[in-house]
Amino acid sequence: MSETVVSLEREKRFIGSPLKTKEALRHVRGMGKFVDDIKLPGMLHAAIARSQLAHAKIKRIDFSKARALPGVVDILTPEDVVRMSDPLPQMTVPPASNVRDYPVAVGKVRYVGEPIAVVAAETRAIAEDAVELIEVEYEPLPAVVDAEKALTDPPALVHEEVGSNIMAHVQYSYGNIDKAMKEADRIIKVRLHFHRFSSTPLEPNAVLASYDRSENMLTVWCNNQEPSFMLPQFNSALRLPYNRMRFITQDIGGGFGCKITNYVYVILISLASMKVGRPVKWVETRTEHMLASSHGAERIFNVEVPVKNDGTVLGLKILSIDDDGAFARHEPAGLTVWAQVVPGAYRIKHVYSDMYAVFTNKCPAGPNRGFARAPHSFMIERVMDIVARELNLDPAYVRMKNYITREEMPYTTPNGCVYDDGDYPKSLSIVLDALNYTELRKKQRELWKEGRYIGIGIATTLDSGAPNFGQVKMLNPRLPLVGNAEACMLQLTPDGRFVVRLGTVPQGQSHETVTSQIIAEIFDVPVELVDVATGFDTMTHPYTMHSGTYGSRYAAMGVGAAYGAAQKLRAKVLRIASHILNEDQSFLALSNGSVVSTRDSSKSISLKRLSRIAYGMPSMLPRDTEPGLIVVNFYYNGLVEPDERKIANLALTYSYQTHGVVGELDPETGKFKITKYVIVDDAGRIINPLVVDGQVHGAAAHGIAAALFEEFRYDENGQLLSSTFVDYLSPHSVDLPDLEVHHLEIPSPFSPLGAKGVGEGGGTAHVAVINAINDALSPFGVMLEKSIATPEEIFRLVAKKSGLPL
Amino acid sequence: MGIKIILNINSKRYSVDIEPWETLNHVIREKIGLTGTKKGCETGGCGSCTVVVDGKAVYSCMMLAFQASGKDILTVEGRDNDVLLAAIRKGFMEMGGLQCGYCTPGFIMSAYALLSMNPKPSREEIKEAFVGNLCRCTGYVKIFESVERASQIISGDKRE
Amino acid sequence: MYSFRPSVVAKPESEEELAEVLRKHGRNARIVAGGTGIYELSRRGLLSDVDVLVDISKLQLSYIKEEGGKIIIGAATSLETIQRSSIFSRPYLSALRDACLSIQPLQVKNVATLGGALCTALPFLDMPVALFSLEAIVTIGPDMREMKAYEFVKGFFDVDLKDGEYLREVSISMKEKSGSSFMKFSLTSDDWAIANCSVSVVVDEGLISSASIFVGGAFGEKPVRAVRTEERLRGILPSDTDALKNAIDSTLHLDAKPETDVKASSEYRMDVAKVLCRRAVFQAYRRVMT
Repeated sequence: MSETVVSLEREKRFIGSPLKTKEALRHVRGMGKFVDDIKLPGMLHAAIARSQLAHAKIKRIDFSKARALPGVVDILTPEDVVRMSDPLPQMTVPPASNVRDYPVAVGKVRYVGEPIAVVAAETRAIAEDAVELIEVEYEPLPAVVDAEKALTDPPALVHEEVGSNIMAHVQYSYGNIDKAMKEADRIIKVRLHFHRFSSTPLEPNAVLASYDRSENMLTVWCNNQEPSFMLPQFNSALRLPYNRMRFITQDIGGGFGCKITNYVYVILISLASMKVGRPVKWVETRTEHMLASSHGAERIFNVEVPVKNDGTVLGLKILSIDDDGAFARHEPAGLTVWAQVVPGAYRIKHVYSDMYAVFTNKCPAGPNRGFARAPHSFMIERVMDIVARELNLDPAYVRMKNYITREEMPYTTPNGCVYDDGDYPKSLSIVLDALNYTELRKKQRELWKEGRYIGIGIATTLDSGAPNFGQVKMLNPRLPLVGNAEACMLQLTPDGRFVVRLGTVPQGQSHETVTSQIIAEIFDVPVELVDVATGFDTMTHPYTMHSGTYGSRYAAMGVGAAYGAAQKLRAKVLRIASHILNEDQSFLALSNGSVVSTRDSSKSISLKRLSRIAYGMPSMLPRDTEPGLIVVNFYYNGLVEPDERKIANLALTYSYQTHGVVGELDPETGKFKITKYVIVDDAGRIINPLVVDGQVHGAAAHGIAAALFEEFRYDENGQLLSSTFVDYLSPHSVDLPDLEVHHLEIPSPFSPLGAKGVGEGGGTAHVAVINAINDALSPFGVMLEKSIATPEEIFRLVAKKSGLPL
Repeated sequence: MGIKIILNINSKRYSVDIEPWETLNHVIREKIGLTGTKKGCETGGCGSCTVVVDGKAVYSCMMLAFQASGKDILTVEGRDNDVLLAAIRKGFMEMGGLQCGYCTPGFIMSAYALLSMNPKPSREEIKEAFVGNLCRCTGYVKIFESVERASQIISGDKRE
Repeated sequence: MYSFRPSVVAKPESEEELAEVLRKHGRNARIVAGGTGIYELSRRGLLSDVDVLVDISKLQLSYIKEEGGKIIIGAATSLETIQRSSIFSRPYLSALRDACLSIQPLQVKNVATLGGALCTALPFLDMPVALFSLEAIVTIGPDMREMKAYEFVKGFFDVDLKDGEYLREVSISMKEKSGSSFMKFSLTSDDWAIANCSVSVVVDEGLISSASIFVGGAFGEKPVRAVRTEERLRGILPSDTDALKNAIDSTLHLDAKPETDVKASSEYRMDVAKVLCRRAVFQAYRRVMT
């Protein structure tokens, strides 16, 4: 499966260059096209009536007042949805897959904000006013809000048809945990709670659906991150064959995984359009987004860690519970996706994991930046610090002791993942140097005497990219998904320009630019001659069932597809040129927009001329060569399904990052202020440093925010307490520290250009900050269990300490 | 009902019928059709709706349209031959001060208000000018650098 | 929540006209100054009976004057204007500037007005707390009725305006040997206060001779005057940090009882308020002494 790193025959002009992005050109002029910017003739506006309660039977819904409001055209009711559509396919297994999942509440509501009905009206304001007039009579039921209780002592069943609140239960055993427990000097117990938050992209979910009855054709503009992956969902729920549905994305205002489960809204608004026979647009409000789009799952860990007294971590024995909310809409995939990074960056040989996912009366969980790997990495990096604390060792020392080294690369983990390449110890060394670590530790102790508490946090996490879909078979063997593949269509137009259509669905990752760099490099033409179509379109773009942007996959998959397409097209161009120029192919090169002979400069043909021939004068082409210059290329990452022991390589690339953070705690208020922040990132071969740096900064910002500010908090009745940017606190410019970024550039031997997927950052910043806070708390002898450190929580812990600091 | 107002946007006059409760954001986007100005929260919490009114950055989702009547409004689409706006755009492009582009119009407008008052802002002044603009992609670093670059461009400095 | 659907905009040319419009429409009329509070109020359903919006932009109520031993601020003066005015760098007025600086988005400060901040009367706002501690007086048109800003704000979204009346200006008396400070604790820069505290002290021979202290954030329907703490601080030397700490820690909770909400518990709010109060007293004192 491994393709070696390509060597291009000349000095690279575009790959590796901080090229201005093509996308920027339109965005700085306000010319981006997002779903809400599109208007269609006869278009109606939708607003959604939603549940006010977390768990209740619906006794009666009265639409009469809403229907009577002038300007209201129609209302899509639960009865309509049941009549017009089939329940959404479930990823999980029986009995949890017995859930009848519709895009609206049928018979009962299961979380606050759950859609109940859709009003289509002449204006958005009328639709919103009509929603206020819909009367719903509820019979309240006890709300399930605590994941552990949901399992052991449920106040109610979220879905009666399941018979329990278990969404999924899996056990993975790698190595021999019992042996590790026996060989250990000590077993350290750790309890952690990874909290609920999301990346809250600034563009809300939005759908514009237009159903044409005469053609039986549905066209939808949406901002879903992977529409082709969702085709089976659309097909089932809308009862339309694939070729009667067209899904288009253009600019997407941030995704981070949060725009994967919006397929439910795509279906809902499509049904509304199918019912009224007119285009219907729905744009989510911020509060709707907070209440009812997609939250990252909560995970509670109880871990036993067998260790040697010298700091060697032998294994991990994990019992975890995921709180996945009211429906299994992309979850419980989180029970398998973490397995891409089972031992983290460490030589941990024995891992046993007993994992539950449970239903609760909360917003359905979905992927969020670093999906499933971020909570797992959080656990491992907390474990490293806790082991250091328990054994009275330095956390940097414990990491150095356990890191997989460069010499061991490529490294096969206990579950068969093959870490491509990287130098974890070196990344930490760079961080420690930048922090002046040894001095800083001394200073820390001196400051304690003055009643000042600084904390130092470090963490290394892996950002696994181009995932193997076969991993879902570890959960549900019946799922028809394995490996990962991506598609690209490349055309050399008769005027000598290039058009590219990708299966990826970018949301700000500059795929147009990076793809252009690759094509321009291979054909030696200016990037301005390469047009990469914005967004994705199931009608005009090639795709696979894995297409989309998620799982840090573009650098391997999108690049692989485009690179392969360019190679195919290049081969055809050279074949044609060889025939026309009567020159052996081995003496032909692409240079400055022409094919030239390297031994006879009089033999040359421009790409433009060659292309005109290919499209217009087929008689001049070599025999057996088809006219035209269009290629479609599919790139497959070569990964296969796990064996019966659940062993397989689950991702193609494993970029990694080590972060170091220093901050100071104000013990009077509990506020922790970050004073220094250092990042070492290895994204393999960097195609565009502007783009990679942007991803590194962004991932760090999300992690810091998750550690300090962002949380979806529910009360005991299942009411969400943080449903606007007033209550849900995303960081603003002055709330984040300055970031010092260093790069290692160790290419992946497995990806087509040596690039490693980045963007998710594995939640490094999140746990690095939490480690720093716990370090600052260490003189008080207290520790946070949760992955968010609000000043109040820190203050409480400090207040709880007995006696004076050590 | 409805009332008629005149809005001066990007040096062009628009006569529009509005409702008293309609926000400037709604009118700019839906009635005038300038969709560069975004909306991300409608509660003054994200800044993607920022426009410049009489030289100052304001949230167009928090200003009622009638309040802007007769005032000089600038949106990201801009007016021809605006040297400052051109410099800001160039700064954002060169330094990679954007990813998904959704918050970008708001940042550009805040940068415009800042640089027209203070052509050589310090990093701290830039940060403060942007407190009212959320960006979820960039972590802000490259946005600050973009404004610094724009500042260099307008003061004719050469790039190092 | 979405029921903010007024049908008329009135744009009075004079204060007489303003009073007439307000008299005619009573509670169905609402002045729009900056307009930034509309969302916060309408989502609480507080504006559902508003039918007439009153645009006061023609009335020239934006000014800062110094007259007869007073600083007078027009009700429609923007927070940004106040923040920029050098007048408020004087020690006795600094709390007002602190409060402006603590409100972060420029997009809000550029349009939000001082009058709006008072009339909106939401308990978590910053400007009212600062004004109260500076013993600001409001002037109410058209009859030029005067009262303490603290009494003008009666409770949650409730101010002492009768039909036909409007807030015209706010005045603060100049004070000798006085310094003030406002402090706020919030989670991010663009967050409402978990707690805020504004302090104005008069210093005599290095000791506090009187203090005016208000705490806000979520301390009931409106910010609370810390009467006992004010008493307790009389005669204290703030640079004796232990004495200051003891005085506040033993008293402030007797003055005010904070609430518990999504952002903080009552106990934590009080703990933070005590820290803010101490730091504000100290800073106010330092401002007089330097």
